[in-house]
This record gives sequence, C-alpha cells and structure tokens, in this order.
Amino acid sequence: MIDNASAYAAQAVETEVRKPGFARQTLGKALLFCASMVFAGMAWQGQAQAQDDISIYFVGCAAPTGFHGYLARGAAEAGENLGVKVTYIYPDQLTIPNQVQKIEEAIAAQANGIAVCAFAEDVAYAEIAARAKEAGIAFGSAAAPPSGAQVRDPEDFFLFRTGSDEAAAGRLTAQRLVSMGVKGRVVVANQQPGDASCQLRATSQIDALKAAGIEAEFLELTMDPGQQAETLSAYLRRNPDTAAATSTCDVIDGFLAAKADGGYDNLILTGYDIVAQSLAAIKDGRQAFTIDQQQFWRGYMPVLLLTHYLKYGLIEGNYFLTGPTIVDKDNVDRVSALVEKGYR
Amino acid sequence: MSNGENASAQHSRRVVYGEALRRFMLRPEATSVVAVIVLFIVFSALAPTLFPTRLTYISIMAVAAELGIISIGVTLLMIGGHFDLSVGAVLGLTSYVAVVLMRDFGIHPVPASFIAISVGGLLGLLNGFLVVRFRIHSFVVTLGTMLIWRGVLIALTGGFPMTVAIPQGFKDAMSGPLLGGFRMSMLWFFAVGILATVLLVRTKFGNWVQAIGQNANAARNLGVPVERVTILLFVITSSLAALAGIIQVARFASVDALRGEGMELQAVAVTVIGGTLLSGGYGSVVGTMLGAITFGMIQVGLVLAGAPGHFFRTLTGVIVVGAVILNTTVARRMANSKPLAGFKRGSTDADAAIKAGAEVDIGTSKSSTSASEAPR
Repeated sequence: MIDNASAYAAQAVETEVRKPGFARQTLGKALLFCASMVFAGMAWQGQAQAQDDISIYFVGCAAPTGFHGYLARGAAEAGENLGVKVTYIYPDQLTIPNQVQKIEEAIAAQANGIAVCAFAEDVAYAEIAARAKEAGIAFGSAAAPPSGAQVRDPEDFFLFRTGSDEAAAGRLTAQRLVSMGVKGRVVVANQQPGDASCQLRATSQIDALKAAGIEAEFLELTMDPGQQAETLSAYLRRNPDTAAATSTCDVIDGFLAAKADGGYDNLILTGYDIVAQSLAAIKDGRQAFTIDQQQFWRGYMPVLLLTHYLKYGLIEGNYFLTGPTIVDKDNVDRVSALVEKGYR
Repeated sequence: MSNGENASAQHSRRVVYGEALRRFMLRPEATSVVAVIVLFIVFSALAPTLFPTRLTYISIMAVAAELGIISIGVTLLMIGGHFDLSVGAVLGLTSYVAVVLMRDFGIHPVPASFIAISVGGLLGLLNGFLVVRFRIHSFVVTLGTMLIWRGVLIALTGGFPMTVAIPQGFKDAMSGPLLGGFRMSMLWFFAVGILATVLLVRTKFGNWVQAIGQNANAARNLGVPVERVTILLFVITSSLAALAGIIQVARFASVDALRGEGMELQAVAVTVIGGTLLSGGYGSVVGTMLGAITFGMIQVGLVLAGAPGHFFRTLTGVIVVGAVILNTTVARRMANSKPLAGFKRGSTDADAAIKAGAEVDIGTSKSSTSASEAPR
C-alpha cells in the first residue's frame, strides 16, 4: 500500500511538473506533496493495523542515535520479527522525573507492555511500576540486574531485567589486565563523572585490581579531548610507573593522543563500548581491547520477553545479561563488520 | 622644576610604588595575574620537580590555547553586554562540517576550514540577528540555538564519532608541536589574543563595544550602531569557536556528537577569572588569556600535585568563585580608593612620579631627567 501511494504521488508529481507556469507548478507540487503524505499516512496506518494488536513502548535513555541507536534498532527488529508494534520514546534530558514522565505517557497510551532503559536505583521506578501493574501493563527493564544477581527475585516489580552488568565489566577489564601480566599502576579515568554506568565500571575495576595487588587510581576528566590528553599526560608524568590506562566512556581520542604524543609506546590502553576510533586502534595495536555490552540485545530481548509474557505468560527465571564481552585483536575484524551492519 | 620632579621628590618610592600597585589593581586583568602567580607558586611548592618544567608549560598552553580562543570571543561579547551559550555546540557543528567536507567531498583542509569557519560566522550571524531583531536576551537565544545545534549535530552524526585522515602539513600548522614542543595552537591563541586586544583598545569598534556594554541606549543616542556591532560580535564569537574546532579536528582527526559540550561554561569561567564583568562594559582580552592559562594550570597542576581524582571540578569551581569574589570586592574597594599621597585621579603628577620611580628602580642613568621629560 505504501508503494502504491508513493507511486501514485510520484506519478502525479511527474505529470504536474510538465505543465507550464512556475507559480502553478509550485502550487501543484505542494498540493501533491501533501496528498502523497496523506496517502503515505493511510498506508502506514493500514500496515500498523495489520500487525498484531500488541503494543510495546520502549522508554529509552536517549535519542536513538549512537549507542542508543543499537537499542532502538534491536527493539524495532524484534517488533518486526514478532509482529508487534514497538514505539521508541525517550526523554530530552536523562533525569529520573523526565524518564518517569515518558513512562506515564506510555501508560496513558494504553500500551500492553513497557520496557524501560532503567538507569537509576529501583526505588525511582517503584511507584510508576505499581501504576503500570494497576493498569494491567507488563513492565520490564532493559538494564542489568543488581551486580551478582542471577536468579530472578519473584518479588521483583520488573518482569525481567536484561542488560550488561557494569560491575562485571569492570572486573572483566581488571582480570584481562592481570592476565596480560600488567605490573605497575593502572589509571582508570572517567570523562563523565556523573554517569552511573561509567562510575560503576571504574569503581569495580579499581577494586578488582587492588584485590589482585595492583595499584589502581581514579582520574576525573572532561569530555574535551584536548583537556583529556593533557590531563592524562600530566598523570603519566607524575606516575611514570603507570602500565595501563582505561577510558570508562567511549570518547578515547585524548587517550590515544596522550599515548602518541608522550611516546608511551608500552602503555596499555583499554576502553568500554565500541566506537570507530577504538576499533581502528585495536586493529593497529594502539589499544589492547574494549568491553562491549552488546546493546542490540538490550533492545531486542525486552521486546521478545514482553511479547512472550503477553502471549504465553512466560517469565524469565534467570536475569539475561547481554554483556560484558571483550573485543580485542582476535575478533575486531568480525566485530567491525557487525558494527557496519548495525548489530554491535 | 617640573611637576613630575616635584612629585617624585615629594613622595617616597614606597608611596609611588603603592600608587602604581593601586592603579594596577584597578585594571580588569589584575586578579588573573594574581591567580596565575599564586597558582604557580602553590603548584610549584606541591610538585617541585614536576610543575615548573617545560613539559608542564606545554600542557598548560595546549589546554589554554583551545579554550582561550573560544573565551576571547566570549569576552568581547560579554564586554558588549551579551552571552553566548552556543559556542560549544558551534564548535562541534563546525568541526562536523570540516570533517564532512574533507572526508566525503575530498576538499583540501584549508578551504574546508575556511568554509567551516564561515559556517560558524553564519551561525553567529543568526544568533545576533535573533537578539537584535526580536530584542530577546542573548542568554535565552543562545540557550535555544545551543540546543538546536547540538541536536542537529547528534542527528547528523547519528551519535557516532567520525574520523578523517588529516594531511600532516595541516595538522602541524594547526596544532603540531613545532614551537620547541609547544603546540601551534598556542601561536593561534596569541595571534587571536593580540588582534582582539587591538580591536578592543585601539579601534573605534572597541570603543563602541565597551560603550554598548555599559549602556546600550546611551551608546545609541551617541550614534553608535548598536545593532550592527552586536551582530558582528556574535559573528566573531562563533567564528572563533569554529577556529578552535578546526584546531581540534586537526589534532584528533575526528569529531563526535558531544564535541565542545560544556566548553561554553568553561569559557564563561575563564572570562570571569580574567576580570570581565558579567554585567558588561568592562573587561580585558589579556585578562581572559591569563584566565585560560589559570584554567590550564588548575587542570594540569592538580594532577601533578596528586590531588584526589574526584575533586577536579570541585576545586575548579572553588577557584572560579574565589576569583569572582576577589574581582568584585577588590574592584569595588579599589574603585573607591583614593590615590595615595594626595595624587589626583588621573593626574600627570602621579604618572610622572610612577614613571620616575620605575626608572630609578631599574637603575637607568636617565632617572634624573625622565621626570622632566614626562608628558604633562
């Protein structure tokens, strides 16, 4: 139907532009554009009605770009595969009130299920989860369970939790560094000190390194790559025994610059999440590895779990962890190909 | 006997130096000079083997240069009585323009940079036009455009960083460590600082900017083209933000959706440390340059001094608030202070006495005649 509407509109526009007279042409184009939009809208509505009646709202943390674009894509692809309607909504600024407001909008829209990219403590969502339950709406979390939790708590107001365990990610980085035989200090830097995920990674990595007898220290940075580079350079000068540096967020330009500018060829760089600079640096050896949380699954799995709960009453027994996994020189080429396709 | 000789004869060197100090403290950049000296002493004491070294100065100037170029534009605008909260987003968006032109259109970095800076100028033109045409406070207008440009950048990049291959020659010219280890960005910083200082203190345009910042209506009544000057200030500010963006693109060969985020507030902090009043009409580009160096010293010095990793923002904030308190209280006290030893405000006697005192101090043989040569 979309194709028919578009073809009709295109044909109509083509016929119209052959007519003489600039003003008439312009007016005609405008009218036909509007007409094509109406047809396209009708076609879309028709397709939506053709889908299953299940409506799922995915309340994200941010606009569906970059990292969050993978979540949105995963949710959309699950919707297509399962024949349910998925709507991705998100707050302009990621604050608890803003995100709860979005959940309220999803409740008002009479969704059948809501998956929320939870970023705060459970208590922040307790009230809205109760309201969703009262309204008969299935409510799940597209975020990791509390670190270490495996079996789902029957009293958990989230029907499921699916995400990457950031504390485990920090420990995994520490374990990999230990297995690489790191001797000396490790600096763990955070460009976004207010970000709970980055902070959790940093804290758990530092704790795990210290437990392994390796000196580890936290360093606060800004998002500006120039300031990152100079601050890290200053740190490396003060602590020449530093063997490794970890970026807990995905902006790693400053780290690469500090390593290159200072001639710290032996400095091991590690990071979290996947960005183009990281993949290129892993390929050519400037960066050792990065931690991937496979966020495509964080979008896909909640829609699957909600749909199966709504259709068949299925509830997960174990929380579903999408990560952490390691991307290093051994698998970087394969991961790069998947990144280009939009899955990693 | 000239008046100058009378003055120098009547007043002891101590009094003359006191008056010279009083006059210096009346200048907007006084606090930032004090801040630079105090921080240098403090950090040198805390990290004696690491801080007072060439490597540290290189790091400080690298931080100061990029932030300072943005801050100089913000300073001119603030002296003219306006704010620009969109400079960080303009930096990011124009960096994106430069990267796309180089990467996707194969345009050489030099023309690509000119185009990106021109785009920056156009964004500034829009800011200025909105402020002037609709008489909305620049704080609100640029808050809105900041969100718009940031949103556009996120949409265009899809949130992903973009990389580009930068020719070594261009990289060196914009940010390479060619000046005895110091980055070329420092040269750009000084060049922009000198030009802005000349513009502010040696041209009619500079007078207009200060007049508008003090009282726009009075300036308009005196024939100052307030609207035109205001728009031009916004154009300069955004163009400088774009220049800083180009320097970063050259150095890091990349742009990301959050590039420049938060720098608008850092620029305001640097400008305030530099002695420019938030109320407009009073400020100094030199002060801002020193403010940027202060910021760089804090950032690098805290790490070298081994300060706790979580405290960088806190300590920066404390120093900014301290600088503002110092600025306002000292400025108020000094403005109300009377010239020492009976000098009249702006008197040539005082000028001559200070000049004579200074020349005596450096031991020139002309000290006895300099006072008589002093201008009346």
